[in-house]
Amino acid sequence: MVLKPVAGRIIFHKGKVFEAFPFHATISGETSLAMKASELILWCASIALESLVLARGWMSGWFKEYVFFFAYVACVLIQDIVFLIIYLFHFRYYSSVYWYGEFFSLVIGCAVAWEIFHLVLLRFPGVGLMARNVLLFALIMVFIKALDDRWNGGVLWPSTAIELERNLRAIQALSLTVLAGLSVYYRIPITRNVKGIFSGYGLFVATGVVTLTLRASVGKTFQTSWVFLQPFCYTAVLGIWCAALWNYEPGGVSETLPRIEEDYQSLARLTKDGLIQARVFLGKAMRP
Amino acid sequence: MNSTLALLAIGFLLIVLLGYILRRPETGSGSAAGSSDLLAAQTVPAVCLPLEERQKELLDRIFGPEDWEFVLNRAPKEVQRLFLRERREIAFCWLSEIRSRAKAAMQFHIAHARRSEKMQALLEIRLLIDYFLIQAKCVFVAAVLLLRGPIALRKMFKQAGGLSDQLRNLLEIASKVEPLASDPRGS
Repeated sequence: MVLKPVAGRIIFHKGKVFEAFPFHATISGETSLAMKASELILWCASIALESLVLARGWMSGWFKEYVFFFAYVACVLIQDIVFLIIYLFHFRYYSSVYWYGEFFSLVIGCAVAWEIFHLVLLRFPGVGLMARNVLLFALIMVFIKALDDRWNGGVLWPSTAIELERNLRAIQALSLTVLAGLSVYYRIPITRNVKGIFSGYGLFVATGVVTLTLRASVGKTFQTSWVFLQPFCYTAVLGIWCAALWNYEPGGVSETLPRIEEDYQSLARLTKDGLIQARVFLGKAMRP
Repeated sequence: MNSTLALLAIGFLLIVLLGYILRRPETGSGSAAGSSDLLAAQTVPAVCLPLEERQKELLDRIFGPEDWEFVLNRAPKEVQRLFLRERREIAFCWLSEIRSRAKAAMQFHIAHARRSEKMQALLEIRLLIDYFLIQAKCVFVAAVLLLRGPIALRKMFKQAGGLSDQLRNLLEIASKVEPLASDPRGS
């Protein structure tokens, strides 16, 4: 019987039908033995790079600072090894084990997202407040949209595990987009380590959302690109983590700012006055 | 379809923002946290523009028609061309000064407000909108300067103002006219 272990799709194995969606390294071989060499290399490279990140975390000591991230990489490493063994030797259990592992990773992924928020906005409570407000607004809008869909005959809860995963990843992506937007706008200084964790995890989530969405809407024509794209992106993310987390860099020094920052209202008034003055001069250029 | 586009937009936006963050210079224990930001924090905001009277004089000189009329009546074509070119350059310099002042005001605000616990989301959004409106206005003025020159800027607005006055008068007259009596034949 031909085996088609293509991610998130029906798998035929020994006459039985499975559905699977390999996690970090997507494998699409005809059979477990006929797995493409490039895909097996990517899977093994992922395991090697995850081990390297963990080893560097242990040696340079950053694992004590970024606890959730370290736990996340450790869990993913264990999963990848277990998945590979099951894939190669006990394939019929693969899909059930895969989904449990996948949602466990998603939950730890939420903890990593929270840790990124905490690390980036630790010294900037104002921006933290802004992020919470914007995120709350965005989530309310998403909820209203879901209710509207339900009202128009759609389904409120995703019907498949793939849709559920895509939606959960999309919420993570939305929160990370808010954080990235605010940190760009407010020029939040970020250390090398945190930048690496943020960029790597954000890239992983973003590519996940894009590829899952394309796979769901385009269909099987995107499958051939997808099975290579997703593990390739994940390997690139591991590369970013390796480079950024090779050494531990403690947080930046605290800024010493004038007293004016204590009075937000005065500051806002001063800025507004400056902008009004610029606008008045522009107006005078046009009308005497 | 809409949700597919929204999800793709979120994904790509996140990738772009992360790319920008990755390219940004790093800050660590070794470097001062955001030295450029601290520099911006010390920058005097836009309220310190030259005195209003001087600004008005400067603006009248750059955009006013007096000098141009003088040159137009007394100088040859070559000098007129040179005059227009130099006035345009001065106008662009003035415009870039206004833009950089507005930018400095925002940088000053951002550098200080980000640490304030009393930050207000609505006020921040309003300031951002104000800033973008000024930038848009600057782009518009720059386009007019490029296409028509500094002397034409006020002339254009005078004409536009005249047109809008005419329109307003017309509307006022129209509103004063009593509605026509209904056709007696129809009744």
